[in-house]
Amino acid sequence: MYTRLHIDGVLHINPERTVTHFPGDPQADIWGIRRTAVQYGTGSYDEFANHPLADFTTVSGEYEPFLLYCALRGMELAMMDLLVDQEFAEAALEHIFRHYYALNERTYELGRGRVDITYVAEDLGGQTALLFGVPEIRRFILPRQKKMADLARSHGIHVFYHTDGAARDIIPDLLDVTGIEILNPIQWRCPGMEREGLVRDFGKRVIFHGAVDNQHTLPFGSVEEVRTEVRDNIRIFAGARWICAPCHNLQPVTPTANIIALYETIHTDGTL
Amino acid sequence: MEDLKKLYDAILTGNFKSAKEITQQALAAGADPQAMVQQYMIPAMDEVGRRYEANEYFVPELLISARAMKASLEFIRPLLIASGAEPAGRVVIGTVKGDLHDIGKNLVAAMLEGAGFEVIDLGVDVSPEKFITALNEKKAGLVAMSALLTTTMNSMKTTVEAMKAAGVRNNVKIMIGGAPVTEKYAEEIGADGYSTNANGAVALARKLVAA
Repeated sequence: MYTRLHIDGVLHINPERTVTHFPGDPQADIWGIRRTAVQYGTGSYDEFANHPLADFTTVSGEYEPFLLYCALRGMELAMMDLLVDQEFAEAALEHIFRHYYALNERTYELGRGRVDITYVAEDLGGQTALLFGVPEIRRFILPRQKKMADLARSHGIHVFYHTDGAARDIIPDLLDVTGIEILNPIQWRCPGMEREGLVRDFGKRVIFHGAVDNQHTLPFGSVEEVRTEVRDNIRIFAGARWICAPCHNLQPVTPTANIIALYETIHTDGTL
Repeated sequence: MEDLKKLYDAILTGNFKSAKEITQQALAAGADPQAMVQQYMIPAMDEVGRRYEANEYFVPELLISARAMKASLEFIRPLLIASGAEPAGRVVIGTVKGDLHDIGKNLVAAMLEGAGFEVIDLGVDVSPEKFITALNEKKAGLVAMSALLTTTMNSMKTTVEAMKAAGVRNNVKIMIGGAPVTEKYAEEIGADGYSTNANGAVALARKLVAA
């Protein structure tokens, strides 16, 4: 046919399509758009049938890009991507990060000096060690965190950083690269997170937030054990700066008496 | 067999494509599946575990090595079953009722599989009844329970109690793990052992099976 018409054919080049429709909606394409065939007599055109952003007003969300990536991709794949599908992970994280960056920028502008603290976070520690190797954290997480922290600083906002678990090995990077000012939640029962060592090594550079154990002491300890832990913290953090708080949301199994003991003790014994 | 050293390396470095290829080639060339498992795969996963404990490997490395090991095992397992080879032990594993967090459980399951155990993975949010049914059906000697949350940890206790009530407690060894779990808690609820990580879980399972 090409010869008869004296034309060249066109070779289309497309990436291999691994995803063909919107999750949960087989009728929609990857953008969430559905199409209906509209007949015009001698044939039909696929016309747009819906507009996913029609009701769009604003975006929101908390800032933990890798956590969102895990939710989008599945935790195990997301973690493996850091080693074996790095370009994909990098591209996806960059999109997620830009979304949050723009959101925070707008929020700070609207806040005009009334925002004191911002939350920059990513869980890097597990119960006994870092979840990822330091090279992966340095490549995928830290440079974007730094931009986010720089944005906050440029608006005069303090950077409150959250990472669960045994994160000792990455704290120097968090201080030097990200530039954090407050570190939460100090799970001191995790290896490397012993309070004395943290005060000795980082006490001059960061404010500690948390440090009241929420895996053992608060949910399962006695009132006296809660009091002792708060008093231990007051003593250990005396040479540094510490904001008293539980290491995580108080869990429903926590006895009310323990919660009261936590706040009573810091009120009575923690006065400067 | 020099070529099979490559299987060890493929598992250690988490290269599942090459683990699969080497396995297929070796089996086609008449390699002994039992020897492949014992001499290359288990040692590779043991080394992965050692590196994890030494903070040289982290969760992503464990995951890719486990994936490579599974890619190889997929071809070997049917042959082992056909030959009537007995596994190192049979483990029924799951996260307890109310708990959906399964990455730790999956790592333990993979490491146990890599250590030659037959793993019956019941998934997440597993009720005591489901654990008991599986133990009875599969004649498993071990049960492994996981919980991430302080709020779901108590389901371990109720599962142990249900196992006692159903009269199966004495047929099995019980191991537990998960973020808030401790040795003390394991003792309190009458479990036989606890581990902080997937590599420790393998050592514990080996110990419990030998006991």
